[in-house]
Amino acid sequence: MITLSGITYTYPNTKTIHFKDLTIKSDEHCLVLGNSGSGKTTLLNILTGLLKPSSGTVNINQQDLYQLKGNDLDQWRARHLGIVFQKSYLIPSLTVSENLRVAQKFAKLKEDKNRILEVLEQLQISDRLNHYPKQLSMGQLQRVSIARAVLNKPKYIIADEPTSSLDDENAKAVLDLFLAQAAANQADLIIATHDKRVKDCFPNTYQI
Amino acid sequence: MTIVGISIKALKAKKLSSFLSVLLVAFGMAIITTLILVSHQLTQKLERNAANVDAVVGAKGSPLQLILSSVYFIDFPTGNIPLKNFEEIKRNRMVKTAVPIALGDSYEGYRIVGTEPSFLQLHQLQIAEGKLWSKNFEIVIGADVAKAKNLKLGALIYGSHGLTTGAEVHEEHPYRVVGILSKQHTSADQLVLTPLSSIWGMHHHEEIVEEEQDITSILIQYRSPVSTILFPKMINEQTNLQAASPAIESARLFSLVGIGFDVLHYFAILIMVIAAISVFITLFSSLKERKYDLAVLRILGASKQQLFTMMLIEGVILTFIGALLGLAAGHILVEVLGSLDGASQVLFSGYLFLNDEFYVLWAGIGLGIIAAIIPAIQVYRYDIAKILNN
Repeated sequence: MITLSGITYTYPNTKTIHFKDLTIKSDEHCLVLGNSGSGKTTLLNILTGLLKPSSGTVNINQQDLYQLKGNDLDQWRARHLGIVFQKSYLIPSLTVSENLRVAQKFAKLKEDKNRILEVLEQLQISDRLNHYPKQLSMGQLQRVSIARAVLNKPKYIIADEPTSSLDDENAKAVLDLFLAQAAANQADLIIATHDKRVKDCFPNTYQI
Repeated sequence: MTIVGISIKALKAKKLSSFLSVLLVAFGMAIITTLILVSHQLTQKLERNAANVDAVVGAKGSPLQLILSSVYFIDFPTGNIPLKNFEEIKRNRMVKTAVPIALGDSYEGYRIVGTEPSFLQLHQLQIAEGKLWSKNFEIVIGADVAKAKNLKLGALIYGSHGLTTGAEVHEEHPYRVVGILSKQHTSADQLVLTPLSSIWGMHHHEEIVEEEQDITSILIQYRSPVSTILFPKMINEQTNLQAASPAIESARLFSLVGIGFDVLHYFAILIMVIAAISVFITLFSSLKERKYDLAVLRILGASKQQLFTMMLIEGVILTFIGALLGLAAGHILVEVLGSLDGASQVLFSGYLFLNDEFYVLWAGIGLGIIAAIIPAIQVYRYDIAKILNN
């Protein structure tokens, strides 16, 4: 369960955003809607512990996020959240398999090649195991970054604008991918988007 | 995947600039290693040769030249002195041992030294095979001479006039090898020793008259250290000879050669500084494109300290590999130098490892840390939210 209460954030240019309180129950997906520049990304950063809010608290599964400091926060995030950014941000000098092993290592989990293979198979890119990121297409890169996000079986999969640059058909495919991965890994989805096409698939929306 | 593994793969991804950094470090290290090995071996060789010689008396001229020719057997002799000088000096009460030396001939580049058996005692030379000479034209040869020319006991050799090869050969009087010295690691390894009278007999075909009994110099061992000041003063003021001290002259030689060593030393340090800057630039410029990857590692659970360490490791890997290659190159270079000058008097070996080299290796690692510290601090301070949302 996630609860946001009394969150405000003041930008360096002194503009302040007040975010509505929010509760996301377990086993519910949630869509964060808002136009470009409305503060979606800021909210996601606050939600993932990357950006300390000016006031208010973030509670995820009974953990007050900003009570955690430094390395503890990094570790907590690695264990509980799977984050997919707009860009894939894979490490170019490492292969697909190594990129995933890094994710297991830094979350202090045992390296588990079977798990890596399992996730890549679910995403239908296991044949790219030993390829370098530059050898992959955009779509494949996104799949690998989804694979990395779900690898450690996080409670929440958080994605920022995963479909905005795709055509209708591909947007649908990617969304299905997220839903399938969430189901397969028993995780809840939180997707931030301004893409109205996504809206129909989610009962819960949070409008900024 | 370990942190070191990630670092290595990151360096491999930018082969060219990594290679350049390694090359620069290796180059600087090779020069420093060579300097350390050469100066150590040179000093040791000089000290060992002069170990038991307190002073050398010879004709007036350059004292350095006198020492070089009579103790290290490298430069040309200063000139001849009459044998009666030797008899006088030998009787001086300050002198414990006096050994006459007559130079002038050589065998295939190896110097033939006319002397007395006291030469062997003074330099503590052991005869490995055979025996000491008992008559004229019998010789005892150094270990290197025996090995290089494959000379066995009983072999006959011909000396030639002068100290360089290719001069007139004294064909009428062959020398017979009667003894071979054990390896000394001094100039003695490259000498051919014979009684004084062989040298005189070689150049004067009639009966030797006393006036023609010349020698080149006299090696002196004092009875007491007090003589260190008194004896040279006495020789230089009361005779037309000069007395030179191997300790003083080799120190002077080293201060002359030392300037060259210093210049090379500073040059090597300069190269190392450039290498450090190169490592710094390699790491710093790579951050521009790598900051996203590094920020993502934080999202994956890596701590600030781990990323900091990762950058330092990358710097240290570059300089450590460079330092190892440089050390190896230095040893190979010294070994090649040693084998090139074959018959010459100062032989270097690359198969010698000194403690100083460990300091150099540590310095190399330190260099990597210094070069990487600024990029590492930058990575430590990353605001990951800002980077990933750009």
